[in-house]
Amino acid sequence: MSPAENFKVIVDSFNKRIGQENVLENFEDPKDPRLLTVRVNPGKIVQIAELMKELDFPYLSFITAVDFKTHIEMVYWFTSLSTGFNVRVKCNLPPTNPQIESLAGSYSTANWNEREVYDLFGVNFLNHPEMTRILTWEGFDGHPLLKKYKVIDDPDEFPKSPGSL
Amino acid sequence: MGLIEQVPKFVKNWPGGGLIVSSIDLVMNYSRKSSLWPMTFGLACCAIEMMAANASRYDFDRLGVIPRPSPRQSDVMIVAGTVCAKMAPFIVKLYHQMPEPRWVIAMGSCAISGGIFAHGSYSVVRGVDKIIPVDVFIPGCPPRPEGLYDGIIKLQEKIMASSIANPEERTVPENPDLMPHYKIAEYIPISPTPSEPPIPAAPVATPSISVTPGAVSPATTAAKQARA
Repeated sequence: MSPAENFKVIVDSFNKRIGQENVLENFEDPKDPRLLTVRVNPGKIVQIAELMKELDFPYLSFITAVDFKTHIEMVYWFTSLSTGFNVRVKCNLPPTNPQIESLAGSYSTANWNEREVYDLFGVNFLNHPEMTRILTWEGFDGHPLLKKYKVIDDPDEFPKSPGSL
Repeated sequence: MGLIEQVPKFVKNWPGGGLIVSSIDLVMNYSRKSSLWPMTFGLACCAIEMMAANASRYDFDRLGVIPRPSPRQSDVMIVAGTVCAKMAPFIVKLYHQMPEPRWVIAMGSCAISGGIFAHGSYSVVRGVDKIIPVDVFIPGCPPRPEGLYDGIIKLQEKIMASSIANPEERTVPENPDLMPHYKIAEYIPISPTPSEPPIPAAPVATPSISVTPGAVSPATTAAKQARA
């Protein structure tokens, strides 16, 4: 039995590797028996990424964020390609000047995913190889998916300049 | 102004010159309308309908419409889908890479006015006519292949009504008031000289299949008066 199929093994590994005080909560999805959610301390995200590779989770499906106004929640979704099991790692960031370590060193796909999160939510990823915007253009003002972002609701108003070609 | 634009105007004033010009018009317009090669600009779901129109069931090949991947070989640009502000400079650049005479079809609600993104979007251009002149608007979300078919036929009617004696009426005049918002004037090869007064903005086209064959638009008349 692969360790990716046993959630108890995974939670024990989390507690052992990053310390029990950094694993805030964990719960299984009642509708999806192959999904485990773990909420952790954001300072330990790099150790978690290394741990997930050892636990046969070689694929980082996506990275996204949710703006709750009181905090910004980062969501990482790790998938085991051999068993189809998923582990969803969440961590909370402060709403002003949110920053977290980049996973681009261990998972290559984190590079563009983190650029997208930076573009739309303004989360700054430390030690990222190229922390620039990916969807909107250079010189775009603000981060559009934040709740405090003000949208120009005038059809005659134009988006800001697309800049250089 | 090249020779092709000056000679027909000169010949038309001869006795019987109108017959010569209109005969040449008939041949040239017929050949132009019968081989409208579109530059396919598929940006969103309208592109699926455009692909269906080019495939075997609707078979645009019957009208001489063969999609081309390059602007250098194209006569008409079919803008099918949502135009984002990041895409706007590329559309203008590709439009100016097309050889004249060139036409533009705005396909679908997004290309006409921004569509469902017209309110509250931070990235969508509110209609492709804000950045390039548009000849035919095809409403729909997305329009069916029959709608695109109808737009092509309307464009063919417009081409048949044009004349080599007044080439400036062949396309809708560009909208200079709206261009600086995108800072894309530097990508336009032919910029108006500072001595000439700016051409007034074109009348706002209604979002329906609209075509003005041969009609002298107020913008063109004003430009002629300004030059005279």
